[in-house]
Amino acid sequence: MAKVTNSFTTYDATSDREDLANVIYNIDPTATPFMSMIGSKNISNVVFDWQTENLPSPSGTGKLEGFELSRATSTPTTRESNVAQISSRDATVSGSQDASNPAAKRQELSHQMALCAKALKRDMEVALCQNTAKAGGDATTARQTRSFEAWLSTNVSAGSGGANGSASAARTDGTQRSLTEALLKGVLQTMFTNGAEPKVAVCGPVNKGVISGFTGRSQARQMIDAQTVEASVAVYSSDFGDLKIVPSNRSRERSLLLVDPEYAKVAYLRNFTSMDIAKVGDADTKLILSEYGLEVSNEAAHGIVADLST
Amino acid sequence: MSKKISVVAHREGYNSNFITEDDVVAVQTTQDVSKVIKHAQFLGEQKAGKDFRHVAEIPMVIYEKATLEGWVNDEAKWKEWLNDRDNQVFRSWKGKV
Repeated sequence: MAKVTNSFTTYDATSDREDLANVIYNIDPTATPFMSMIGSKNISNVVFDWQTENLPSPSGTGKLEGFELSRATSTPTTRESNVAQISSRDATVSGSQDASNPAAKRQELSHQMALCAKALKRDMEVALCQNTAKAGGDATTARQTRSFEAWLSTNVSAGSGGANGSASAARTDGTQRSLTEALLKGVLQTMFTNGAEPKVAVCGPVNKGVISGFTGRSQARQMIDAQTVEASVAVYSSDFGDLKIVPSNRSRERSLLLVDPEYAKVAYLRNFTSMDIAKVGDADTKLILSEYGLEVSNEAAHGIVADLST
Repeated sequence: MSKKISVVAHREGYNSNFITEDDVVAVQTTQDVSKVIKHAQFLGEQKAGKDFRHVAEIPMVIYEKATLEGWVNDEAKWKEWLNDRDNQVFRSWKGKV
């Protein structure tokens, strides 16, 4: 048979300890599939904007010989904006550990920071891919970036009572219903009509299992436990192209997100930064933070099957 | 100097460890893929869906490798991976992608 054995070791990403921030990206990226798959960019202000534009509707009507030009109205661009929010985690190692073995203390702090980095990335994944309205923030309220679900309005299938989000509101949840092949196909068809080409579907393990049980595979769902579903990415072929189904514990289980990674970015005002915090007692503390927001370059490139049973 | 290992992720057969040894930190991920192979085999034995044909199950550790190496969104590279004879055990539908 093939060369595959029962154990794969894929990589050893190494770095000097002082460059700890460099390995943050390498810590369990599949636990944060949304932010790991989309691109990134740098921004220079807490409020950042970008422009989107649409082509005019196609027309097959011909022109007369020697026609006189009637100038068409230009299609204006639409200016979109979002805000960058701050997320942080910190780790502290006691002075007693320092006294017993200074090297061990550095080692312990590195490990604590690795765990913090993972926690921070999970915080960011939640902030980016779930359903949160944009909040500009003030002296008493933290800024909140408008998250992915709150952007989607073109390619949407929602349960009864569900409504799209807006610049100032998150999407309204509707009545939950079961995920079916028809629901998923319906949104893919709408996306195809609108020119979108989703490459990845991000969903919770329950609905990834449901997809395995689509028509003709009624036994499949019964045979697959959730943990097995979480251990792999499924590839499906359909009339609308290939689709990878990526399981995620950080996206909302009730939503299946259809993503074209080319049309979304994490916008960093401050990329992962670690800093020493002034001592306030017998311990050393390090802070790790990121200031970032979500740019949805064109929301019509994405889709959602919302309000699914969990 | 001692080596210290912290588990940062542990799911079914999938382990990601953060390792500190001397002046180096490392992340190492391993996965026992036998369940994924069985899962792909099982799906291959079922009647195909009406509109969605299951093609393959990609082990999470491979998806992670693609993410870290920067080809996770490269459809051509994925087709190459899926069509590679060495990866046929992960395929449920054996035709060319």
